[in-house]
Amino acid sequence: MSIKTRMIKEKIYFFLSYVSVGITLFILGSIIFYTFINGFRSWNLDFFLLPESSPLDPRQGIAHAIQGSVIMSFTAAALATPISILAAIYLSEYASERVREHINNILDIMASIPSIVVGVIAYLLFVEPLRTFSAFSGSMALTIMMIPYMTRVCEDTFLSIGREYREAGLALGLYKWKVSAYIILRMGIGGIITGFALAFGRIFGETAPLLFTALGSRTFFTGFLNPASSITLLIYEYSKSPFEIWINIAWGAAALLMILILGINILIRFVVGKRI
Amino acid sequence: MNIKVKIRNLNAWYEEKHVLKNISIDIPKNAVTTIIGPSGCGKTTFLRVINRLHETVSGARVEGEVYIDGKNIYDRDVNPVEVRRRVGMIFQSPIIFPHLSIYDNVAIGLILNGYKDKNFISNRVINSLKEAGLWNEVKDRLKDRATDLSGGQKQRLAIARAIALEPEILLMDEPTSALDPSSTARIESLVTKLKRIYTIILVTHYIQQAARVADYIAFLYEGKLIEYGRAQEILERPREKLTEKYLLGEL
Repeated sequence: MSIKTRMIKEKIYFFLSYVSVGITLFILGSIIFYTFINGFRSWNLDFFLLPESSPLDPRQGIAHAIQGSVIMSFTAAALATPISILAAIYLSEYASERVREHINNILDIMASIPSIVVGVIAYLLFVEPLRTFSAFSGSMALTIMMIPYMTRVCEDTFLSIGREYREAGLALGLYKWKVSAYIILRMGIGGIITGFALAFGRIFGETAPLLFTALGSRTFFTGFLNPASSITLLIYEYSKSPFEIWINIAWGAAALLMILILGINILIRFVVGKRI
Repeated sequence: MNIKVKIRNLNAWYEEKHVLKNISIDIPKNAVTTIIGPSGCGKTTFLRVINRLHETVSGARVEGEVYIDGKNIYDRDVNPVEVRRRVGMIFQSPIIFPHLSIYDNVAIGLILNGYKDKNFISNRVINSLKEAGLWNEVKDRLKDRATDLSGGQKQRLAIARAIALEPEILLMDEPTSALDPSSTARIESLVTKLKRIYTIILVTHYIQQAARVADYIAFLYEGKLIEYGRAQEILERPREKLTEKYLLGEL
């Protein structure tokens, strides 16, 4: 191959990669732009403070959905976080290499189960026995989604901490559980926060697991054993409705969801960046 | 000679590898005993057997007896955690807990071992930092992150952390191999001071270091104890051919 053809090849590759980046950024940019332009129009005080009303009433909002999302996501996070951290500690500190490998495979499979399937599983496990759609079942579906993901991130964080720190702890005459709880856990706090944020951002934007579990609701939260709304369920419902007011609210809710998830990610980067 | 550690027929394995072969040795109290030998001869494992750290690695195994003050630490009724409280250890590269301040890096052993009295802890931390020769350099910045210290300061901080628990024995695994000459000199003079209080067993692959700090020298080769005796005798009149070869740099 002559120098010239090589240079042409080089240029073509460069051009193609440049174009690909452009396409990606364009798609991402137009989604964000379009959502925000359409979404911000419906943002006002009523939008954030009022619950649903008749589809023709201009004074209504998504407060009940925000409330439902926050309650279910935080309940799931409160359940999944300690379980994930303890499971990660078991895997990184106590499990033999073989056991760890097997469990990691199971966790990876669990993490890649389509979220609609998680919804069906949660339906069979919680909705059917309880004979009602409920915020509780929705929270459990989100918990199931969060655990494998967060466990793996935490486990990788703990495993990345050198064995010498564990030995230094043991050499001080500490029991192994104290080394795990006060040294490894503390040193891994940055990774735990990252894992939490990634998992939380993920469940916060989930619709499918909630469809068969929390179902959706037109009112504020009335208890864990009753159906509840979420921002994503509301977007799903409203966007396929024939009412213009609801469709506009769905855009507004979509814009809010994107900003919240983006905000979580930026905040976490800021917090973790400062610690490390 | 007052014996602190008496070892009999000690064998250690790492998986299939026979690392220590039938070692018997008497280590005197309040003296510096140096373990020398080429890389991979089992020096580090020898230290790790004395505080029962070797067995915490999967695939590791120990046979034989290690008596501290006449009690075999491998007896069934002995809790390895209690052994490690009495036997402090300094590692090859200084281990600093990066999430803790200078003060907390020393206090952590006390706090996690259940000491509650703040004054008591603070006194112990200050005394340990003084004993480790670090106090003057850090007294105005105890709350700062320990990661900002130099390599030599970190190693002295690790020593302070170990002696804060008032161990009887200090194991030092090539404590200066990651340090520059002036930091090395400080650690060495610290070692000769500390032997008044502690029994020190120090692994080194620098013969000169052994010559500077050791009261006794043990020469290990391929997991066997080849020769052991007073430092001067080993260095000037080795009885074994292997020792002589090692000292001349011919191994």
